[in-house]
Amino acid sequence: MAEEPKGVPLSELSLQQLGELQKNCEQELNFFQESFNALKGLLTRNEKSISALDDVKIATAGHTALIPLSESLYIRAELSDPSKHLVEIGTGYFVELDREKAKAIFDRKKEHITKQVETVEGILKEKRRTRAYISDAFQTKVQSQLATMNTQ
Amino acid sequence: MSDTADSLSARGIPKSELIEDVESWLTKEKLSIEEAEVVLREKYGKYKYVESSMLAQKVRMSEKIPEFENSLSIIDTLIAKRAADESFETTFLLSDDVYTKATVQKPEKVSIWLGANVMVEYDLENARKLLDKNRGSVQKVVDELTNELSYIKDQITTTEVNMSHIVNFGVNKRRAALAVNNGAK
Repeated sequence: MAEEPKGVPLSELSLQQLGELQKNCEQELNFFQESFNALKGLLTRNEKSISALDDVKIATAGHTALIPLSESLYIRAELSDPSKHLVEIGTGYFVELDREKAKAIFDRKKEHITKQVETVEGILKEKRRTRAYISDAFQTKVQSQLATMNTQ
Repeated sequence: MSDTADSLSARGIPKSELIEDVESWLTKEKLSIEEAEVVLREKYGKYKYVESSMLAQKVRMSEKIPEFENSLSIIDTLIAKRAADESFETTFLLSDDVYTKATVQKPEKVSIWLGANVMVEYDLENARKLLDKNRGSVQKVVDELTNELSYIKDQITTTEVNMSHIVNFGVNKRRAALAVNNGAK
């Protein structure tokens, strides 16, 4: 009968194995931290889109504004239809929507990203705890080996 | 150092002369082999530092050129629209993911962001002139930096050759001294 895989106590691992385990854990931690930062960035961007929609709410057709033509070039123009917007929905696709629908999309997106952030945050906590355990085991191992050497 | 008396590049970078005869060069410069190695290593380090900072500057300047091209083509479009007596319709960025449509009934003036919290309104012709002039200035700097970088690459190569000459000379000299000692026994 195949034996079920079981956990190995940290105290039974060698220093080298603990070191490698620590390195792996560190890499995973860095990866999830980057994910967390990227998601936060997305959330911020999404918030800006929502507030942009709110800002333009008061505008009516024919409303004059200074609009950007490029990063450094601006021109005074009339808004054609402030209640209609082109919204980027990902992978280079744009959809024309009225304000309410556009806002609904961004709100839904915000909700989704927030959920992901919470998930990654939980994983980060777990990883940090794991790293602490491995670090403790490593230190304990080092201390006991030093003690052994002193005894000899 | 005698090299500073020699020719300089447009940005004041001293030329590195090839050391043909190491022994006479050491005599002229009043340097030992070890001292020469230190001097050349310092020189090499300076060239490397200048090269990397110029490279960074060139990258920064090069990034500006596409923006100028873009703005110029937009102004050309506006001028064409005005000549044809048409309105100019565009979709502009409201935020990163949201665009909205706008119409310019009669394109006459544009505002250009000059930096340092300054924006100036120009009519189309003057705007075009300004952007053309700025684009020309930036291109000139990029071209100059390109020339300087190829010059400094030559100096780095020459310095590397000089360094290896000094090292080889030192090795040969020590070997000769060793041979003399062995002959004496």
